[in-house]
Parts: sequence; structure tokens; C-alpha cells
Amino acid sequence: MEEYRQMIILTCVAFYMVLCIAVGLWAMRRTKDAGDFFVAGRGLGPIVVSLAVFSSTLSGFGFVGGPGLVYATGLSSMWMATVSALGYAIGFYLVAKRIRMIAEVRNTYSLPDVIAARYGSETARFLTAITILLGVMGYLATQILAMGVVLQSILGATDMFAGISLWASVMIASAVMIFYCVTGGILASVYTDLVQGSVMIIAGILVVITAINVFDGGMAEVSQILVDTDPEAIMPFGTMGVMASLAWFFLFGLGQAGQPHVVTKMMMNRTISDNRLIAPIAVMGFGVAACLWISIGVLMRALILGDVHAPLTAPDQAASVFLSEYAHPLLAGIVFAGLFAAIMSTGDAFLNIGAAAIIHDIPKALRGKPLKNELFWARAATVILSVVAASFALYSYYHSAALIGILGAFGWGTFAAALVPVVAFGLNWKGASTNAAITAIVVSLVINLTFQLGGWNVPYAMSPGFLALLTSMILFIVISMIEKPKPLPKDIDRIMDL
Amino acid sequence: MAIIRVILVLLLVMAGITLFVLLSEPSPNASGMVHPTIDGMKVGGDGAERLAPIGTAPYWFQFVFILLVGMMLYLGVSERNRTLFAKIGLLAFVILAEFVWYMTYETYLDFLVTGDPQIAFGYPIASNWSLWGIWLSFVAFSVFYSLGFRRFIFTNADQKAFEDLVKETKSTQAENITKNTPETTGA
Repeated sequence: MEEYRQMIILTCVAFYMVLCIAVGLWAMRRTKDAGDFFVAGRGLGPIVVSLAVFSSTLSGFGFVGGPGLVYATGLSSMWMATVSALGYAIGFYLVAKRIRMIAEVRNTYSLPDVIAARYGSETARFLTAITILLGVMGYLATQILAMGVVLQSILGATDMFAGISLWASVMIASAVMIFYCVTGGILASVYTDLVQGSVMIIAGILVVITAINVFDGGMAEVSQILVDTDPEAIMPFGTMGVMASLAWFFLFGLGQAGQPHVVTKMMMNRTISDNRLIAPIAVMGFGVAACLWISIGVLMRALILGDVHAPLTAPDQAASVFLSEYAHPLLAGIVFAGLFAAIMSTGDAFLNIGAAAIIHDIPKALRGKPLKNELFWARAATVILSVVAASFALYSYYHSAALIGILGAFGWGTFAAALVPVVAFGLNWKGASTNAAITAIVVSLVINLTFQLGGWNVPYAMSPGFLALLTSMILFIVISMIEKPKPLPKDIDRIMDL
Repeated sequence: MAIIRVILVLLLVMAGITLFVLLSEPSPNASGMVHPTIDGMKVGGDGAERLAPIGTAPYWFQFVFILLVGMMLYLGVSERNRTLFAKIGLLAFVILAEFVWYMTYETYLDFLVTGDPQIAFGYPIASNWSLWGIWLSFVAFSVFYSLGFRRFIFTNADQKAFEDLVKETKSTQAENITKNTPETTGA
């Protein structure tokens, strides 16, 4: 079977892509208006929503960057993965119920819609849409680039496609994603998420089993090698130390409630009571899939420090080298398909919220009314956004590698710091004020941009996003307390009593 | 509202601890050092050395953070549903999370003193606490959310009130549409 390894991997990935196209065609017939395109008509079942919520959270970063981070820094980045349980708890206790209620009562399509309804402010809507657009551009470009790089490595290893360019690989992968996003909108996105989430769970389980069996002594031998070479790497805080780990825990734990591509999914379930099923399924799904992240990283570090394998040229190769050299060809095929699944499920979520920001939220904030024929413009915006992000990704790759890294890293911290207080506090505290929301968004953007563009390092490797989030949360509460609370619209007031 | 004031105090305490850490003099390996021979890899070096300038600050930072999480989750329970069941449940899981964090930190400090990682279930004991313990201690909050959904998240009374609100909203919208149609406006 080894001689057919590349063909097996290619077949699995091709099968997965054909499946995505099929889902897009199926969903196209069910997408009749902008409501269907952006929030699937709020008619999705709990399994679909839960897998969509978790697969949107675990991007290509979890499958490529995550193992690379563990390889490079030991267990420090484990705190980004274990915190998922807290992140979902925060999301469901503070956001899920009320965002779904507002969506139904006000017929909202997007997070800026919800914020405009809660604060009665078009400025807050506009700033949220701009924040989303800024974060989406960086995130989407990194996802598209990751897809291209992985596809190039798979195709390039076959005789038929040897020497394929990155440009062509980006085009092929983007074309599939654009096709199902444009034709089927969010409906295609969430149903591909269903496939993608299932693939990720299966991949997570199989990878852990494989990783345990690489050394005769299992993970205990792996740990012993790491203890003998640099014990801090396999201790709880890894090589980056305790404050870096805890700052990530804070940012990724609370930050979940501010991720628009995740919380938007909480508006799509058929009934509010479905949330009691969605929460645990999403937590468990992410937990299983994230095992891949830690086990591959730890194993590859031990293989190299134990002189079993030659050093990698870059940490991000950890996952692909493991799959190419230590995994069964069929498992490698499934995990590579899972990798595409992880990247595409996040990419399509960003395309959806980005398109909503462009054709729905910004026009509403500026003109006071949405565009006519939103469905047509939503499809057009999806194509334009994809093309711009793909061009940006390729330009950055060939001409300014730092640019995409800066914007990619900017993404999660930007959403978290700008939107967590506005969403998590705003939906649960009647005293939250519009000026506090505007200040929190602006200040967090300034802090994040200043650190990213200035290239400054915070002592103890604490994330700048953590500092921005802590600052924006404090400012949000203090400003709201100073201001005299304004009465809320009746329907929002009643929702906040429930 | 008292809860938001408690949340603010906890955030300010965390900001104070963060400031203390930022102003301390970090050891050379505070955030790891480049591996001498392998590109792209970092090493941690002496764990006790890099913890020395900040003392117990990390422990208290996370201790306060877990309290903050408890208060934020409590904020997510609507005022009329803040029953004894909800309060005791959330408090119990906050205590569990604090216990797991204490065990994570203490077993790590034990390792720094003894140098013995005590590998069990494939990982050092301190890493097991952080990997499985911390994850599971926070999973408990989601399980409690599911089990208590009808008791303190979205009760039957809440559902009824929400359905009434939706009906009223829809009938108001329908009235507005009727008022604005050409026949009724005389256009």
C-alpha cells in the first residue's frame, strides 16, 4: 500500500472536494433569499450547528500551526487547546440564548445587526463591521494560503502534477471553496462543516492512536525523551513559560465569545432549547479533534530530540512530516482531507461574515437601509472577497511574507478584544452603554494594531491581544458605569429579562 | 448591579498582577531560549530561575481569573433564574476549577524542587493535571449548562414569555404592513 501512498492521499482529498461541490449544488436549490444565505433561515438542527460551531473554531491553525507550535515550544500552546471548554461555556452562557432571541425578534443576519439592535447605534454597527472586515481579510488570506501550500505539497508529490505552482494550487483550492460558498451560502457552509467536523473528529482519534504507537514505550517514552532533553517543554507551561500560557488561556477562553464566525452560528439553530445539546457536542468535538494538535507536536519533538528523525526545516512541517512518514497511507489521506476540512470550514465562515459586512452591515450603517436584491450582492461580494483575499495571500507570500503573518495573528486578538465586552457584557447587562461599546472597539483596535505593526514583544511573551482584551473589558465597564443608562427598546429590554 | 462591580474589581486585580509581572526584571529564559542546534525550536531551561522574579504572581493571576469566569457565567444567568441550584452549582464548579489549578501549579512546583516529573498515563503528573484536569474542570460548566438548561438558563416560563414576545412583534409588524399597503393608505 505504501507505493500508492500519494494516490491514496490525493483520492481522499479529491473525494472530499467533490463532496463540498455536491453540497454546494444541493444547498443552492434551498437558498432563496439573503436570510437563507446568511443565517440558513434559522432552521438548523442541533448536530449541524454544534459541528459547525466547533469546526469553525478549529481552523487550519489547529491542524498545521498547532502541532508546529507544540513542536517548537512544547506544551505552552496546549493552553490554547484546553481552554476551548471554557470558551464554549462563556459563549453559551453569555451569548447563545440572547443572540438567538434577538435574531428572531429583529430578523438579524449578522453580528453587527445584533449590536445595532442592542445599542441602538449605527456607529456601533459600522465599527463592528469594519472590525470584522479587518479581521476577516487577514484570517481569510492565511486560510487560503494554507490551503494552497498543502495542496501544492500533495499534488507536487505525484508524477502527474509534479512542479505545480503555488498560484495554481491556490486557484484550485479557492475555486472549490468559492463555488460552494457562492452557490449555497451559509447553508452549504454549515453542511460542509458537518462533513468537515466529522472528518476532524475521526482524524483526531486515529492520529492519537498512531502517535501512541510510534515508540514501543508509548507516550511515556515520548515524555521521558523530552524530560531528558529539556523538561520544561513537557511540563504544563512549556518552553514559553507560565505567563505566556496563562495570557493565551485568558485570550482564547474569553475571546471565543467575540469571534463573529462562531457566534453567528448561534443565531442559526431551529429552537433556543437546542443549545443544551449544541454546547456539549461542540465541546467534545473540539476536544477530540484538538488531540491531534498536541499528540503530533509532542511526538515530532521527541523524534527529533531523540535523534530518531532529522530536524524539520520549519515547525509547521510537523503535521505533514508525521503523516508522510509515520501514518498509514489511508490515515494520511483522511487527515489531509481533515486538514482541508479545517481550513475550508473556517474560510467559508469568514467569507460569509465578510460578505455580510460588505453588502449588509456597512450599507445599513451608512444609508440606513440595506441594498436591494441582497442575495445577488451577497454572492457577488463572496466572489470579490475571495479573489481579493487570494490575491493578497499570493502577493504577501511572494513579496512581503511578514504582512500576512501580521494580519493573521491580528485576527483572533482583534475580534476578541474588540467584541467580547460589547457582546458578552452588552447582552447581559442593561447598564452597558453605546459610548462604552464604541470606545472598547476603537481602543482595542489601536492597541492590537500598534503592537502588531510596531513589532513589539511583551515581556514574558504575553500576547498583545490579552493586554488589549483586558484593557477593553475594564474600559467598557468603567465608561458604562460613569454614564447614565439609557432606556432600551422594549423588545430588547424584555429579551434581557429572560 | 453588584455582579458587574465584582467583575470590574477582579479585572482590576488581574491588571495589577499583570502590571507587576511586566515591571519585574525577566530572567534571560523567561519566555524560552532558541535551541542551540535545531532551527525553529525553543528550550525552556531552568524553570525555577525564570519563575523567581515573579514569585507566586502566576498562581494568583489564574486564581482570580477562575473567579472572574465564575462571575461572568453567573452574569449570563438571567436575574429571575438565579436560584439556589444555579448558585450552588456554579460555585461548586468554580471550586473544582480552583482545586485543579492548585494541583497543576503545586505539582509543577514539586517538580521544580525535586526534578522528578512522575510520569503517569504518558505525561508528567503536572501536565496531566493541566491537560485533562483543566479541560475537564471547564467541561463541567458546559455539562451543568445542559443539565440545568430548563432550571436556570431557559425555563418553561422564559420560553412562554419569549413566544409571547415573538407573537406580539409579528402582529405589530403585520399591522404596520397592513397600514402601509396602497389599499389602506388610499394611495
